[in-house]
Amino acid sequence: MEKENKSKKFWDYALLIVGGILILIPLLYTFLSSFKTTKQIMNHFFAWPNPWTTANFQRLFSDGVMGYFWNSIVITVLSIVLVMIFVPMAAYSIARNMSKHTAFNWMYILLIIGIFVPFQVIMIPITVMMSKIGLANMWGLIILYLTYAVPQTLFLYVSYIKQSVPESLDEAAEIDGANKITAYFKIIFPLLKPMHATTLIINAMWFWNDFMLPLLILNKDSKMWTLPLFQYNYTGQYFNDYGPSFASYVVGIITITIVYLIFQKNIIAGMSNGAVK
Amino acid sequence: MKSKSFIEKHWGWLFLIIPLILQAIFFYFPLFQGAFYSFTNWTGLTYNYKFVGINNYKLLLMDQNFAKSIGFTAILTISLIIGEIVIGILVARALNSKIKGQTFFRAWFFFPAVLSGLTVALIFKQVFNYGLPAIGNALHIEWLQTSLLGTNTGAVIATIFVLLWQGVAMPIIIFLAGLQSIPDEIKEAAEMDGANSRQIFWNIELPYMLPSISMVFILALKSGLTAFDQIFAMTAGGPNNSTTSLGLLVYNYAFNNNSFGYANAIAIVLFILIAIVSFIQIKISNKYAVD
Repeated sequence: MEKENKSKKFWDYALLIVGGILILIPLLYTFLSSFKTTKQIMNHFFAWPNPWTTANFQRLFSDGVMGYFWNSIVITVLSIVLVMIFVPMAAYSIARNMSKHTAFNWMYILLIIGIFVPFQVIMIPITVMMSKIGLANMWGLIILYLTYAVPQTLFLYVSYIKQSVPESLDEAAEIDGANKITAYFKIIFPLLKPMHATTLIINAMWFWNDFMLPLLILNKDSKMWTLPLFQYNYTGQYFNDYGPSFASYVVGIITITIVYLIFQKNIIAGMSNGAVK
Repeated sequence: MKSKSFIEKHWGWLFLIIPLILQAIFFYFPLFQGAFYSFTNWTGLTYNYKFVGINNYKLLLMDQNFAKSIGFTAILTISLIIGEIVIGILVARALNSKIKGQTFFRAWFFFPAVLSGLTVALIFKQVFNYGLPAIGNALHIEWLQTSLLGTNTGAVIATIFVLLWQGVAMPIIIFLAGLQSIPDEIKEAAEMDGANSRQIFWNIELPYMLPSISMVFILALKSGLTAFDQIFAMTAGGPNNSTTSLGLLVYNYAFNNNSFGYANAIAIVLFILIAIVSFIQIKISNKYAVD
C-alpha cells in the first residue's frame, strides 16, 4: 500500500513536470528569441541571447504596435460594454415573460439558434454585406461581436435568472412603487453579478483573441488591425527577418499573462462554466 | 403619464428589441442568403449568378478536395477527441492526488487556453520551420532536419499537436471538477477495503467522470470540425491540401477560388454536422454543470 502510493506519487509528479515543461518550452523560446538578432535565432536557435538586444522591440514599436494594441483594447472594451448592457436586459425580459406569453418563447428560440450555426455558414454573405454597407471597419466589427455574442450569453443569463433570481424579488420592488424597469436596474442587474463575471470573461477572451472576424472585416485597412491580425501580417511581412515578429508575440502573451495572474481563479471558473453549458 | 404606462406595458419588448434587430440583420439575413447562394453559381466577383439547383451539392460528391478535406477533418477530430480525453484525465488525476503546488500546476496547465490560438500557431510555425531542424542538425537526426510542415504526414501531425497543446487545457479543468465531485467517503471506504488505484479509477472515478467525458467529447468534436485560425496561420492548409480542414476549405473556395456559391454549399454541409452535434450537447448539458 505504502509502496504503491509512493510510486503513484512519483508518476504524478513526473507527468506534471514533463507536461509543464512541454507547455513552457515554446513560450520560453519565444521570449528568448525576441531578445536575439535574427542571425542569432537562425544560427543558435536554443541558445541564450548573447548579447541581449532590444532591437526587435524598438523596431516593433516604431512599426506602430501600440496602435494595434490600442485597437484591440477599444474593440474588446466597447463590445463587452454593449454586450453587458443589452444581453442581460433581454434575458431578464425573456425569463420573466416566457411562461406567460408564447411569443417570448419563440423569441428566445430565435435568439439562441446561433449556438447551432457554425460561422462558416454566414461567413461569405456577411463579409460581402459589411463592405457593401460601409461597415468593414472597427464599428462594424463591434456590431458583429455584439450580435454573435447574443446566443450563448443570453442562454447563460436566462438559465441563471430562472434558477437563482426568483420573481418574488420583482414583486417586492413593485409593492414599493418601482416598475419593472427600475426593478431591473436597481435590484436584478446587481444580483446577476456571478453570471456577469462568467459572460464577461468568456466574451472578453473571445474578442481579444479572435482572428477570423478581424481577418474578414478589417484586413484591407491596416490602420484598424487588431493585435492578432497585426501579428499575422507582421509575420508574413518579415518572413525572413523574424526577430521583430517574436517581439510581437511577446507583447500579446505578456498582456494576457498579466490579466491571467490577477484574475486567474475567475478566468478558470468562468471559461469552464461557459464551455460546459 | 400616458407615455410611462406605454413603457411599463411594453417593457418586455423594449428590453429585447436591440438584440432582435441585430440578429435579424447580421445573422438571419446572411444565413438565408448563404443557404440561397448554395443553390447558385455565384462567383462573388460580379452580381450575376444563375440558379443551379442542387448542382453544387452533386459536385461536392465528386470533388477530390472536398473528400480530402473530409478525411483530414475526420483524422483531426478523432485525434482531438481521444487526445483531449486521455491526456485530460491523466493530468486531472495527477492534479487531484495530494501533491504539493496543486494550485500552481492547475494554473500552469490552464494557461494555454487563455492565449490567442493565432499567436500559438505562429509560434509553433517558427518552432517547426526553424527550431526542430536546428535540433535535427545538431543531433544528426535526419527526419528532423527539414521542416515537419513541408511533408504531408508531418504537417498533419504538427497540426494535431498544436491543437492539442492548446485544446487539452480546458478538458483538464473539466475532468478535475468531475474528480472533485466524488465524495471523499466513497474513496476512503474503497481504500480501506484494499482497492488499489487502478480499481478505484475504473470502479469509482470513471463512472463519476462520465458526464465530463461526454462534455469534452462534444467540445473536441466541435473544435475539430470548425478548426480554422491555427491551421490558417500555421500551414494555410498545405502542403498539397493535406491539412485543409472543412472550415478552411470554405474560406479557400470563397476567397481564393471565387466560388462563393460552391463554398456556401460546403458550409451548409458543415452546418448540418454541427447542428446534430449541438443538439446532443444541449441534451447532455442539461444534466451537468461545473460549479
